[in-house]
Amino acid sequence: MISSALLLALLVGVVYSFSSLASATKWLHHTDEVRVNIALLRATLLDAETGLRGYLITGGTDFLAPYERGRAEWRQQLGQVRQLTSDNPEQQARLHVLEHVVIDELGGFDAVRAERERERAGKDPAGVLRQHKVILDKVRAQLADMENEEVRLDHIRERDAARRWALTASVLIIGAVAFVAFTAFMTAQRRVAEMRRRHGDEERRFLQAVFAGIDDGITLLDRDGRLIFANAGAARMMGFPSAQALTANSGQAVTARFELRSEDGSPFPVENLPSRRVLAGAPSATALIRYRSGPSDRWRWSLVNATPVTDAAGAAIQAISVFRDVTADREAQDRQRFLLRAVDELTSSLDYEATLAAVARLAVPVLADWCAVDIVEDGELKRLATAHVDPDKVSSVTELARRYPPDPASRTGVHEIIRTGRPLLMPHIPEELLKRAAVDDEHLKLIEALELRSFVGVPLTIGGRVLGAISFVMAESHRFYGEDDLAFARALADRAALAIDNARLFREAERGRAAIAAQLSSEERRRIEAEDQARFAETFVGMLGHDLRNPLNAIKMTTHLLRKFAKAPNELTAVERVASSAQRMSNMVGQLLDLTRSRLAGGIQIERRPIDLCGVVSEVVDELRRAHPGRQITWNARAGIHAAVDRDRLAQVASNLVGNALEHGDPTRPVTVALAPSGDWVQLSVHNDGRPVPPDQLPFLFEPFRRTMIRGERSKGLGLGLYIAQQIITAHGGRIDASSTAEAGTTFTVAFPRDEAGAVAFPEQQLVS
Amino acid sequence: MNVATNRSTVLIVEDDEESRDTLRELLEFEGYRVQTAVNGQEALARLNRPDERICIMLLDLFMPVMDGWQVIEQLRADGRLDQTQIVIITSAPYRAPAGLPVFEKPLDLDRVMNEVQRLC
Repeated sequence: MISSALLLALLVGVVYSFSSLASATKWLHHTDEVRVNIALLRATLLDAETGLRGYLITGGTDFLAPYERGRAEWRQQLGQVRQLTSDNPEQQARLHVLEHVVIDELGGFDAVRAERERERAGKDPAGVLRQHKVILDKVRAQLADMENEEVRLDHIRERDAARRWALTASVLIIGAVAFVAFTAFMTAQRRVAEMRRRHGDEERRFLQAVFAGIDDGITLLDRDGRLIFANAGAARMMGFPSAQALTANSGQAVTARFELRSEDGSPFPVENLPSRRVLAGAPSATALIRYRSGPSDRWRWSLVNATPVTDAAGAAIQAISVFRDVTADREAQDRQRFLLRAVDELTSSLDYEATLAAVARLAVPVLADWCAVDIVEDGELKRLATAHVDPDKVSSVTELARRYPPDPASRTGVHEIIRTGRPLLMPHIPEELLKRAAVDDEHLKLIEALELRSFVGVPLTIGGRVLGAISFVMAESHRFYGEDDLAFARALADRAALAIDNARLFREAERGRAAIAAQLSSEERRRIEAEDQARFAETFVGMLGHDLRNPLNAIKMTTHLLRKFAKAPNELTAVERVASSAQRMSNMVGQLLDLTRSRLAGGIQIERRPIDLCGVVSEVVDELRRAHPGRQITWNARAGIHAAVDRDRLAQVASNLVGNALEHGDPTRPVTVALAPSGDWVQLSVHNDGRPVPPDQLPFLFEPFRRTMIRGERSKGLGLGLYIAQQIITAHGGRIDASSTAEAGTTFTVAFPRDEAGAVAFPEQQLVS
Repeated sequence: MNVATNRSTVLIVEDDEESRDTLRELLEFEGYRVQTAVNGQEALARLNRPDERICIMLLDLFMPVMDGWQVIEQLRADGRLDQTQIVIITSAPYRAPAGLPVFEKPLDLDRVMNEVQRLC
């Protein structure tokens, strides 16, 4: 545009300069023409004068011919000059004078008048000739004036023409230079624009490469709802084959494809989407959104964070959204919560059938569309529980299992899982497999009606024994199992197996009790009932103890860490309180587990190693002295009493006995601890003064859960310490006794052999501790 | 207490998130580098990485996917059991494989730290 305007201006300038130059040149020619005509007039005048002079001197009429011719020529030439100088009044005036002189004073080159003059001059023409010369000089002077005028004009016009030439040349040069400069400028500008475009392309490609490598989804949305940019991560999350396919849609169209939910499960309002909030003026916005593309799609979780792109005035014109797929984290959390709930539910009943039904019910619909529990009973596989997301279909599943029981030789089903004890994951059940498994058309029809799509089967094992298997099946929901589902199913199966085994033990005990009860006296029945109760308690604490240990472990470790950070005394006091409570709880859990082991696992396991017993007792006494600074503990340490025992377990016994003495003894009196060898045996005794144990309770001191009955006081523990101490000493092949009277006080005596064989002599040099 | 310049790497193999994180923080506080694994499979993958030499592995026994016993079996099968220092951390010490140091949960941290310091 600018280029065209410049070119036009240049053209106009050039045309004007050229026309101006042409006009100047024309005037130069005109002057030349006038001067030529003046020269002709002068020549005509000379010819006429020469002719007249010849005639006047000689009288020869031949001389009058040029004179006569001069008259015609003069007139013609004079007319020519008049016409040529018609624009110049001064020259016209001079012409007028010239005409007047020539006609009035010279007679206009008239031959008759010439003859008359010759006659008048007679023999002496000199006077006439002089007279003529004066007149002709006047004419010549006039012609000279005219010529001078033309010369002057010529100079002026030449200068003018030269100036115009210069102007034209300048216009041409300046125009050409301007054109070249402008063209160069435009070319440069085009190149810069091209470079910028290329640079911009590179930057865009660079950014696209960066964004493509990010797992998170990134989108750029403008005010009009146009999706300007999306990376591969965003396309993946939203189920598009590529980023281009995603950006071909408007933001609204993409949103409309999904069912959105808030964290609490309520519908997520579209106007609350972070990008919308940011475009509406929020400085930034974050939301945790659950979404799926339809009822058959699995729910996914996305943590969305949006920030605005603002214009110069600070108004949001675009929104950058970053989507993080947190589905795996959320599912892991959900599963963790589910497992905790499952443990609660599984341990809430010891009824066998109820436990099996709970396993199946728990799995649906979180882990499966339908779930079946198969148990091996008397060498046969029995389906004992079934749950289906659609209650009407439970009967179909049961019917199928009843009419077409799975082939025990099959390599793909429950039998295989039970045979191998290994889980089976079939993310996609091949149709071929179903067809092959079908016995007849009716069978195939029943199978097809169940819409089996994906399968996970896990064994129910306890202590390496396979109790049965749980089958999880995905059907209507169109979900498919993966490795993480398998791991989760195994975790659930582990907990279920424990619960099922407990329920089975309980049921067997119940059955046994029922069978025997008929033949037993009421006294024996009470005893058996008491035993059942004890078994129940042990089963319960066994599970409880195990599950309590991990959180307790975390609490203890955290207090350890907190101690290092606590500064103020009140902070330290609080940490210590948590630590001591955790320690107490830890002791109780330990006792519960010991109880379970001693009752269920054939007694407490010990590991004998040669040690100096005095060292162990000294450590225990020192520890309790620190814990009870106001109390006196008498302990005469004697080095060199050696035995092969379980060091930790023996320390546990000593700690329990001395701790009890401090707790129940007279606080003003010392507690006395003594250790003495007695042949191949060793004896440890702990004595305290104070109120004795009532005689009727003395025989039951070593029974579990007896705390409330001891000396009429409520102990802080569970009442398991003495029971466990006895179990430990029994495991060492020893015994533990108690005596208590008001006079002699209370004494606990522990005796055990120095090693397994009952006697051993240790080389002294090895025993220096 | 260990000094913060101690850069030995301890591998914690523990499925209980809270226990794992707390133990990690403690060890890091004591100046160790810490790697973690939530099951035996991850633990073996970590041991196989050539870029970091694991000084000691604190191994839980009960874990999903691959438990502590399986880890020990695998290392034994690969002939690598002697090259890996293992300390068992478990709520069931009576079930721990023989011949390895065992700490019962809840852990006595002073003793655990002493053991780690002794071995690293």
